[in-house]
Amino acid sequence: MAVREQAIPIGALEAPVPPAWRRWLAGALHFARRKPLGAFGAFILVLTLVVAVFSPWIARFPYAEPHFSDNLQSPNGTYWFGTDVLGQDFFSRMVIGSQVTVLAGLGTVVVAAFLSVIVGGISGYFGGRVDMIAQRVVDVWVSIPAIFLLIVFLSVLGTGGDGFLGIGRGPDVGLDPRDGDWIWYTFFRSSVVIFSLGIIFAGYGARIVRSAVLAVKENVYMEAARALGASNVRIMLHYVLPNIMPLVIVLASVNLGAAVLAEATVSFLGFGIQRPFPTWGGLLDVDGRVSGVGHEWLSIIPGLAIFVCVYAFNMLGDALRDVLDPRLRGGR
Amino acid sequence: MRQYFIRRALLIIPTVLGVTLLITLLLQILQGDIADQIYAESATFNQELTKEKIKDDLGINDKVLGSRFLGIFKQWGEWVGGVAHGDFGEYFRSRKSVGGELQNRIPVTLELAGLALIFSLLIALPIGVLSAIRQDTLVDHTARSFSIFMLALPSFWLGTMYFVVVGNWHDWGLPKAIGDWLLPPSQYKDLWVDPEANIRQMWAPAAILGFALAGSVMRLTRSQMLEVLRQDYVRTAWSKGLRERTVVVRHAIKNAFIPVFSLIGVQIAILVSGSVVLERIFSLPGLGLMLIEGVSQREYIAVQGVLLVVAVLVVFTNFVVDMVYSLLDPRIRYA
Repeated sequence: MAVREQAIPIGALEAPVPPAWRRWLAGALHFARRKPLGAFGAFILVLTLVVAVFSPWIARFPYAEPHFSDNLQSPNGTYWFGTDVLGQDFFSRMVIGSQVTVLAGLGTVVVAAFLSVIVGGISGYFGGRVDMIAQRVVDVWVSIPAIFLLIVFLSVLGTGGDGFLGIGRGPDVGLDPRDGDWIWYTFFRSSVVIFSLGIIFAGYGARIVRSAVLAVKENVYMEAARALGASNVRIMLHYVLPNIMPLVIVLASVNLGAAVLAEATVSFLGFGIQRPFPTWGGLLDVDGRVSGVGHEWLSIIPGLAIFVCVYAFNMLGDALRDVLDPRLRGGR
Repeated sequence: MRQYFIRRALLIIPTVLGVTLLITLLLQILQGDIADQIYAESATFNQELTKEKIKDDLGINDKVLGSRFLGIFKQWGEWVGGVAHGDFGEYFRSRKSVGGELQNRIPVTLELAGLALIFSLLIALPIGVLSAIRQDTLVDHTARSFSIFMLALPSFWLGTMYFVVVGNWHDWGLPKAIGDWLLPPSQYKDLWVDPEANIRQMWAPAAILGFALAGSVMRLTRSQMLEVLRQDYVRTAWSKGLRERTVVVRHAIKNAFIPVFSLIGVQIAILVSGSVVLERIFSLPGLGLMLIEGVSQREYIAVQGVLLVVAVLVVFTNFVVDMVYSLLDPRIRYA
């Protein structure tokens, strides 16, 4: 029996690949269906980010403009969130303050991820004496409770003036005064806070990254790479790093809520970005705590904002962890 | 086991020495600031004062210390040597002994942290166990969402709201007697001097601090209970026809609580961290307030003392918890 061969057109066996944006959208929808709370967290994160980026245009008044005759008003049509002792519009101050929340949250986890990959990676990869010394340094680092170390760090580096390595002053402000309030300038203002939080979170991250590197090192492909004569740098960048990347992403997202909370805490204690620039923690301290009695909205609004953000970011982190690396579940 | 014990005990030494070095390095940078600050405070009264004179007075000028770099190590050596003899140095302005001040402050923070720990265990353990044995019921769902809420509730917000509510008590027409009791006395009272006033001051911050802790303890208790309940020996206990109470209390709880116990060791650092915020809101003169005061007045010798005490506290508790943990759970083997 003769078998008739039939030419199959090239590509006919492959399913048509949808365009990239549609795959992203499908992935996001799938995530939202599986993890509704995680999707809620992502929504709040995007919302805060949008508000922060466009805050100078969302704010209804300049954040430091006093209206002395209108001070301590309850929320109303002109002042949506009321006014503080000086008659500054609380809504504008909250909106501008969201910049610090977003920057400190995201900046901290990025700095922390970067540092913990370097320290934990080198420590785990080389092992031996390097590992021993690095682990003792990390031991020292995590044995001082975080807030204590953070307060000392912030006051040594100084949050008022020039900032970290002098970049805190930021570039010169343009003609439109509104430009000076934009998130880009706030990034320089909060550099000290971001750096300090990041270096403290990195201590805890370095241990986790180290153990992951130790696990990766056991794989056969590491031996193969070494047999091929790959250099240490090449092995670290091309073999180790891609394999610990999911863990690093999970670590960063799990820490996001904690970073926001830590920034709010130091601002509340008066060691964060200095007045008159608003931060949510600072607003809760200076307005909520001092003039909160009889003017409850001043203590409810910033506290609620911090709470919702931390809650949402925690949910997002947990959901991402479950999806990306379920082994880490229950670690906290 | 014994070898592990000795090795862990020996590792404490480099850690604590490292802590002292780190503290000294960090705070030497504040050293210049205190001269500036004292100058700003007193230059108007004393025209002849210069920053150099202040530095001479404080013993921190370059002539005394030699080069900047060696000076740091010299100060480190002197400070560690003093601490080893129980001398924590003194305040620059008041010449008060830092060691004496620490002695006054440590009991306040320990009382706060201890009460908070008790409070969190009282909430978290029963609810965690209940949530596990009634898995996927309404009780479980409520307890779980509650614990997630507790993890995100900032303690400084709760503290602030406490004072807002108490301050508004009369305006909202609530019973006056309770409101008066809730308002803590402004002056701090020691537990042994005036227990009633002390408890009135302490219960709210301890409850708030414990609340923050309860969330994570509850989550861990629940997951550990669920794991233990799936073990063979629990099934055996069921099949013997034991009552639920006996199975849970006699067979499951003991094993589920061991990891929870080790979590508490980790949480000590978090408790001490949290006490800074609550001491500040409730004006309790503990270590946290001493740190804040010390840092803002640039009294760096006092700050060094506080940091050393809390670090030693954390290192020591972690050590004790690890040791007790390995005694409680003989399955754990150490390489």
